[in-house]
Amino acid sequence: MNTPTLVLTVAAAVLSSLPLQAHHSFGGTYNVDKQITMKGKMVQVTLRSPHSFLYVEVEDAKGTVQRWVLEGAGATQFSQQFVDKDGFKVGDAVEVVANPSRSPNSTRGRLIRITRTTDGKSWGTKVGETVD
Amino acid sequence: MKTVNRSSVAGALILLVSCAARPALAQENSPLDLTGTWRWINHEDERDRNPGAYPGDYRGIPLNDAARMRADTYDEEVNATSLLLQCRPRTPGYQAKGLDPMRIDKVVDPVSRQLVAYRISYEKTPGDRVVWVDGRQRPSAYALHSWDGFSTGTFRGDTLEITTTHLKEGFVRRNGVPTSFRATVIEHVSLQEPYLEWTFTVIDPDYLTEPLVRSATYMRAPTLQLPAYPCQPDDYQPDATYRVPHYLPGENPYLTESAFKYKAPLEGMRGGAETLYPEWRAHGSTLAPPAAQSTLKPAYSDASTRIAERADAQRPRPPAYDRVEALHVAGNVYLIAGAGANIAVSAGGDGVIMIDSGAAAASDRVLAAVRQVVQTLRPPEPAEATSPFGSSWQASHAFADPMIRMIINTSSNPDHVGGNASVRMSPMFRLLGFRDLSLSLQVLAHERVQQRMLEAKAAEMLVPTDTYASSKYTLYRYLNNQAIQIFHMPNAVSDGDSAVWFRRSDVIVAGDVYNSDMYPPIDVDAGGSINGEIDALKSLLDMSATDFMSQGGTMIVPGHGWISDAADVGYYRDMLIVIRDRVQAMIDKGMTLPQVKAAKPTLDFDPLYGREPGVTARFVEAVYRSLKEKK
Repeated sequence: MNTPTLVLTVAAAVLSSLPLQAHHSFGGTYNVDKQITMKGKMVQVTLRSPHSFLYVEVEDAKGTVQRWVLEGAGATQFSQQFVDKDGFKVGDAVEVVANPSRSPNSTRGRLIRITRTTDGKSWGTKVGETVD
Repeated sequence: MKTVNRSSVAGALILLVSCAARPALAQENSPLDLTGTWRWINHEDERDRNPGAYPGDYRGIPLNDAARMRADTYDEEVNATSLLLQCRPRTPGYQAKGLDPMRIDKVVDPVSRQLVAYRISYEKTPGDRVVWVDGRQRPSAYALHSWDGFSTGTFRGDTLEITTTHLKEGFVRRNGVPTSFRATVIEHVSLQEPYLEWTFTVIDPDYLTEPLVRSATYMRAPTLQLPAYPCQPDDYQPDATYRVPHYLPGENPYLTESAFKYKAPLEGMRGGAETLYPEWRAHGSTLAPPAAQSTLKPAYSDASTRIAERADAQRPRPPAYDRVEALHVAGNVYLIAGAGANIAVSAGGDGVIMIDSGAAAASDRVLAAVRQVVQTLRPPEPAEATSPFGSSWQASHAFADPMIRMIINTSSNPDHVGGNASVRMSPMFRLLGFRDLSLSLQVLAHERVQQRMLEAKAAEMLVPTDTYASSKYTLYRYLNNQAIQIFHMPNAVSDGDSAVWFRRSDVIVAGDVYNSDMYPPIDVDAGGSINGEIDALKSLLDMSATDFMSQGGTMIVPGHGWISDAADVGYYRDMLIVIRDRVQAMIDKGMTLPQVKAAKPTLDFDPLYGREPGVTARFVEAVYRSLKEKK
């Protein structure tokens, strides 16, 4: 098997092993064409199915703290990608990239990438690390 | 002796061979082996699956204007704010598009070894769906609806045809295109090893103008294991006031997004039966896609927008009470339906506690239904000892006449209290054994109900004899082995509404605060208001728990309609919040009541809740007045 074929085969195998299903429509809930970046402190980690939720408190320009809810992958996918109870913890300083909600004034987002700023641990940078 | 020719012999042989080849009787009703685990093949509608349907994309759906308006004003964010929707399973009208792997098992009668049912487990709907293939009857129109509905199956040749009714409200696309609780889903399942072809047709009298036919393909996956699915709803804004994200009509900025993004004509994106036919293609190809995204201001005008007017135009018919029926709800609580407003009865060793008494003209049938409930109760289990009776069967199957111990009225509406007099005068009405019967609770209601009926000079035997005035009133003792608590629902339909909670049976009798298929009859002059009504529904939900996946658990008996659960009440609450917000926005613009009525703020919900004469107009007026007058 030549190299390109092998790469494609491995990629296909990786992708096919992931859950590809949102219980609700991401295209309907979030603006998937836009991304926002925020820095804050993790205050709650809820690993569950069909999707997990990471709660991050973010201070805005006026000093008001907002509680953001980042919708992440399901618990099974997360655990296979080293996001479990020991992966990201309450109190972690994190930087998050997310698709914003379509709903005005909503503080929800679909997780694209998360990085712990103290040691660089991240999710969302490798193949298959997407919330589908 | 007759001569036997060759063709006769050949015919007989063919018949013999075909008979020998026929499966034995036990397999005749199961020509296909559907059992096993199946993986959904994602080769259709990829864009619909990932990232998911965009707002305003109704291609391929024969929806009507009422459905279109619901979808146009829908905000998918509601799936996050409502704890009841976060883990909502899909109905069969969408499930086969849901990507879930599934497992199918047979349920076989252990004695006859006949196939009774198929059990289908979907990955994201852990409660099994049951498809009965033993020819059983459909449940009553007053039976509980569920996400799976009630399914029966029949083999037609090599195809299993499944018919499903009793569905909860669902969706046919994940951008708000709804399916009604009146929808029927017909599924055709055929096996072409290793593929299972699943065609499903939604017939929806409320939101579709033609059947919606779609299909999906599964592939046999013998090693597949369905994982556990612990979907736990989570309140992500626990301190926030409950809200229902939605767009006001004409204010959704995303409705042209799909047409613009995919360079498709907007008319096609808006869906409708005419766009499904080949003839439309030539017309569609002449249409230009939108040049830019903009906020669409749709007009809604098809027949579905005139449901309320058509209901109002119906010739008034005197109510008929010829189909009064009794159904088990839960524990020792039963529903007597078809006698005006719903009646709930708790029946047990301590007698019968009636919640409401129905319409006066239905009393004879109501009392007959009470007798039926009491005398068909399962007799108590015999003690594990020798029977002390000469004939234990007769001793345990001889029923005393029903003893109705009291009536509790949830409101003063005539179809709730109309039977009070007949029940009280019936020989079955036997109070709780005080020597002085005037000390017994006889007919109990909130004090405002009694006051209002006295002010209206109602017949004495109709008026509640006993009242309470607190927010919660607990009967002085357990009856039928359970606590009975009465909750005042202030300023909901009126200022005297009550809900009755049978604690051990886990049944709440809601009165007219909740009707499964009709707008609430809010009476502003009697102290009712839309915000009080919404608060009352929130109270019911706070008292309720669901068994699993937002269904079952606490049973809620509506004032009118079928036995419900918290998910049904949640939908009803959300509907009222959406309509309240729309009417409030119109008031804020300075619109008068006639203008608000003409704007039809309930148009998209009328197919569900506005099919009775006068109901919609009264409801809109009540919402307007209670907001305008800040009640």
